[in-house]
Amino acid sequence: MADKQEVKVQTTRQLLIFCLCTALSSSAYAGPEEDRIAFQAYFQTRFPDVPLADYINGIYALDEGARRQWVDIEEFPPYEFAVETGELLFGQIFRNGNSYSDCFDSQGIGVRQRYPRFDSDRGEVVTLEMAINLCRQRNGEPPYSYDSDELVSLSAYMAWTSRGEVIDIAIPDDPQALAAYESGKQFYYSKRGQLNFACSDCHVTSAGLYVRADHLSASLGHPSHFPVYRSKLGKVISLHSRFYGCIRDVRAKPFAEQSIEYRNLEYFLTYMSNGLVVNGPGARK
Amino acid sequence: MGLGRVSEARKVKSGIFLLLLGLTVLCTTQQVSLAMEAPANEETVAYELALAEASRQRAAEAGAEWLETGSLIEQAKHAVENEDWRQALVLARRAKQQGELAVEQAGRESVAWRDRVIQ
Repeated sequence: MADKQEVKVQTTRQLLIFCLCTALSSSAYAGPEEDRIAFQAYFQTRFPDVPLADYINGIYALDEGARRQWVDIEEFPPYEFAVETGELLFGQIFRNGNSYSDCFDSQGIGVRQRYPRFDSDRGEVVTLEMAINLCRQRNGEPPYSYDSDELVSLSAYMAWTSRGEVIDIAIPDDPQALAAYESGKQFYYSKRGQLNFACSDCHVTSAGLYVRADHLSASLGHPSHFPVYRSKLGKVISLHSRFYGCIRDVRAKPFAEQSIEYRNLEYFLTYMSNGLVVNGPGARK
Repeated sequence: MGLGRVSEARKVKSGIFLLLLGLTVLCTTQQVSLAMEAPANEETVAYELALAEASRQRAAEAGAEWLETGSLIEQAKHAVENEDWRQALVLARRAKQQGELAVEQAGRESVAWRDRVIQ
């Protein structure tokens, strides 16, 4: 109950800020579709030799040496265990006789490309991981912790069944949905933390450049391959876990996984990749 | 030619020495001024800790808290437990400053982010 009130307060606040900002600077405002076209055009101009479709491969679209290693890793994909576990979990029947397939369109197979989506009834962005937990709760099951192996494995399996599907994030004709998108966009372009970095500083301005010994990836296509097996962690992690790490790395206090801030960020970021295809789960260093 | 090089090397060495001397004086002056500003005792530390916590909260409300602010406050509290008032004062003030800078950053970014949007 308190959570719902908090969501309403935050949504109202976002709506007010959004209205105020658009009223103050209507000339600087571009709609989501103009944003997406400009976003994709920026990277295509910046890296003319990289085909648009290749951005789903993240840094491997820009770093040939790392790509060769990754191609070898994909011979025996390290995320396969998570996909298999996810498949088993997905097939389990809840105590009330229902299952995950009762909660999703197309029985939950090949639906990743439409997440996150804006739920007008709830007045907030719902990610795939959140939808999985909502499904559990509706069926009398306790929600999983968002960083649990179970939830990440379910997400990995659902991404696997969606491979090749075109990302198609919708922003419904609802001012709250547009406000959530704008909130995510503001988060993406705002500098934060002791290092005073915005997401865009690394993944737009410095995409393809070195950070220590590694190249920085382009934001375009980022959400297509999550969840991702991180070699350095030895496990599959969610997109929000990656957000958490990035925010911590710029020395800002990270938000919790599935916080409204990260959900709105995912909404904006995934919309920017509309038209590319899902290729999750992926493998990264 | 050889003498010229020796003289240049001396100049560089003198420059480095002066720079280090300057930095040492600056650090010492700051420490002295900190010590002179307010005595480090239970009362001043409690006051500075309250200011630091309020500053951290304002940053958190703005969604802009920095990573180590909370940890600095915790470390300051730990120093209080050890009655290391001076260390507690330094940590609390650092936390307070971080909160203020984070709020300032959030205020600046509430407008500045628009200039970074890809057009």
